[in-house]
Amino acid sequence: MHPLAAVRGVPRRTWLRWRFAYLVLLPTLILFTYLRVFPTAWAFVMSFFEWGLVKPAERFVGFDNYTTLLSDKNFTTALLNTTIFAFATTIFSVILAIALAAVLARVVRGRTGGLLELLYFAPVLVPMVPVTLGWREIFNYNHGVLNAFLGIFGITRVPWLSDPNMALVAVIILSVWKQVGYNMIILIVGMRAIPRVYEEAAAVDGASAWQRFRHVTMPLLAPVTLFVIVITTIASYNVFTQVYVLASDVQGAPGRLVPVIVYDLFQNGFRFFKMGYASAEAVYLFLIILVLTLIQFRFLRGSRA
Amino acid sequence: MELSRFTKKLATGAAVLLTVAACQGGASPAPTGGGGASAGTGTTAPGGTTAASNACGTDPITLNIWGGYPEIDPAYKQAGEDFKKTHPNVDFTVFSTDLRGFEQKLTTALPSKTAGEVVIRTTNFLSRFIDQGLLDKLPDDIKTAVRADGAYAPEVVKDNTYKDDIWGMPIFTGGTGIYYNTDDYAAAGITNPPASIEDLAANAAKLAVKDASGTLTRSGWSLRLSGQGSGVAEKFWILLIQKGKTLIRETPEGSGKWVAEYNSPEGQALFQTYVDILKNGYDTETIDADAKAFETHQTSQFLRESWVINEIATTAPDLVGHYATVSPPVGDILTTESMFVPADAANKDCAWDFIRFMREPAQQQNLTKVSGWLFARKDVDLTDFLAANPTYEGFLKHPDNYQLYVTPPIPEFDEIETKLATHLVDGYADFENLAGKPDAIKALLDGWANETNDILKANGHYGG
Repeated sequence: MHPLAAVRGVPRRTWLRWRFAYLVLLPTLILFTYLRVFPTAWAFVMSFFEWGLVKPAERFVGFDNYTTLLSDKNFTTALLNTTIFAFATTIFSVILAIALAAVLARVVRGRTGGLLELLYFAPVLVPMVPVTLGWREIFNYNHGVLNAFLGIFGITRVPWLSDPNMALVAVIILSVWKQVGYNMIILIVGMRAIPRVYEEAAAVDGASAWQRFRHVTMPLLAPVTLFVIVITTIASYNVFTQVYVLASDVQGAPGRLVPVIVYDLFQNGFRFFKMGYASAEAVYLFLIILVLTLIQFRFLRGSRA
Repeated sequence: MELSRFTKKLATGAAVLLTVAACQGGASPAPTGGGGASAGTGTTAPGGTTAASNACGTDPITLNIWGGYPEIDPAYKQAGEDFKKTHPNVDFTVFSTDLRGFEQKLTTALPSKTAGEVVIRTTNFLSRFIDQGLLDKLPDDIKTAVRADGAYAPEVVKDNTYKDDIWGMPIFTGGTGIYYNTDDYAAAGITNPPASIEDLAANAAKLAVKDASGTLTRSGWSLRLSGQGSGVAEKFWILLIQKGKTLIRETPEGSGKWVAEYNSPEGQALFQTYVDILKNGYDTETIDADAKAFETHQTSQFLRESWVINEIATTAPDLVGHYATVSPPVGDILTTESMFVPADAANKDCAWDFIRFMREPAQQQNLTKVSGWLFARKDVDLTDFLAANPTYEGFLKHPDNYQLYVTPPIPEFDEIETKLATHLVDGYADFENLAGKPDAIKALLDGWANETNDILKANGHYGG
């Protein structure tokens, strides 16, 4: 059957509805194309040039920017850090969100549930800069709350912001805390949309609470879970603000900069004026996220099948 | 089947769109805010004054002053009020952010013609914009005044020279002083100010304080161990100058070709000093550092520009009279912040008039009094100023044959310095593994120097 055969059979009234819908969407589509698609396409073009920020295209360099990047230690370090960060943040924030959502959607209901939802969601509402400034104090080696808390259990103080490895862990903790509320809300909505009848049927068959959650709720929640994973992965690969702010106080408080891709491309483009080089870096980032997203979508289709 | 294929295409399309959106959603470029983004400082003219015959005319004008040092804003605002006495039609807005944020703002505002009428930054940083014709040429009378014998230090003129021409009117400079707590010195039995890096290191051992558990509670010498940007490398550079070397040296002089010098034996010895201080626990990454540490008595010595004097007076007044400054013994970096007017600025002539006004000795001295930064003119009498502000001696009185280094006039220097700073931070953090291993330190510095030389090669400035 021709792919459009089904469309040909659509009644005129439905066609008119569709046309109206597309007409309403058109301004947004134009804006999206102008503000998002066009600049992204332009970044592809720039990546093949030696292109200064305040100079027009100087020289076509083909794939030179791409090959140079692969041997640029700053880029490879940033890529590694970003990947570790993205995987850790995604895994922890999704697992925590699932646990919280399960409790709040199924166990704690009513006003208490609503209040807890609000509390967990609150970090999402606060802009990243003030949040990071607050966490910088929490992570402070000498008078930070976190080290004081760990001290109660006899754990020695951790140099969260000055140790190269712990600085990355600190960014992950902060980001998981910021992200988990958003993921939780999406998952709660997904869980509440699952008809209770499935779980009740499983309970009648003798399934325990864990078995019902593992074998009934989670499979039915898979599309929502994967959406949350995709969104968190994309957001995590674009990490920038928390890294920038945690190391921004050069006048006194110790703060180690964790190199990540967006910071590196930002620095190459806006500090070293190498827009062509930074664009190639952005294209790599685009491709990485695209591949990961496609894999996740494929997984989504597989799980649906 | 058809539906499945459609779903597949929809899914792929959605993935691409999500990715496009995501890649756009990362680090946004610095805001390109126009001249209006500012803290208003417009003042009313004193009664009875009339508009002088000048380039500002009589129509209402607003001059937007943009800088990268918020602590100087009050000086510009004061100057604006003074200027307004003879130019009542001129209002001012003064807007400063932190230096890196300001630089990023300039990189988008200058090409998009939305910068303020007066922008303040170094000629070196602005050289790329000069190349693109985005900055106005310095009027001849100001150029002559800058070149006049004795008006400015030769290094200030050199720092403002790009492609054989002077750009920007020097407004203030950033010299370094060694700050030391005189009470701590006395308690440790140290009688003389530090006269060398060796002195600083030896004093650090006597001044460091640890608690019963061995944790450092007051560093003997607060080194610059972390932070983003090029500051870490700049501090290393200043100390390297005391050993007679620099980060990159022009070879031969005047050729415009450069080669890394920080991996010289002197550079290795300096890095070894950092490692030794960290290894011995006289400073640590986990304690507060720099001006903040000095003001809160968490360190006894450190190097910094003169603005700290002003900050101490306001944030740690109890420290006043209990510390002193002394000049680095051999030399220093001299960076000059200058006033520029964008080529397409509105009211350019009036902006240059204001810049001429800022050259006046009263305005120059006021800038230092208000902000702590050193005014750029050399021909202003310092007698009264030093009598009233003796703490500035470390910045204004230097030993004979004092060597002042200016930023190499190559656009890629910031990249070199920033990347070196990143390496230094990593190197300092690895002090445990580097202690007592001069060969490892040499290999490390040689590797960084190769990167520096590669950047110079890529820009056609390598002279090795």
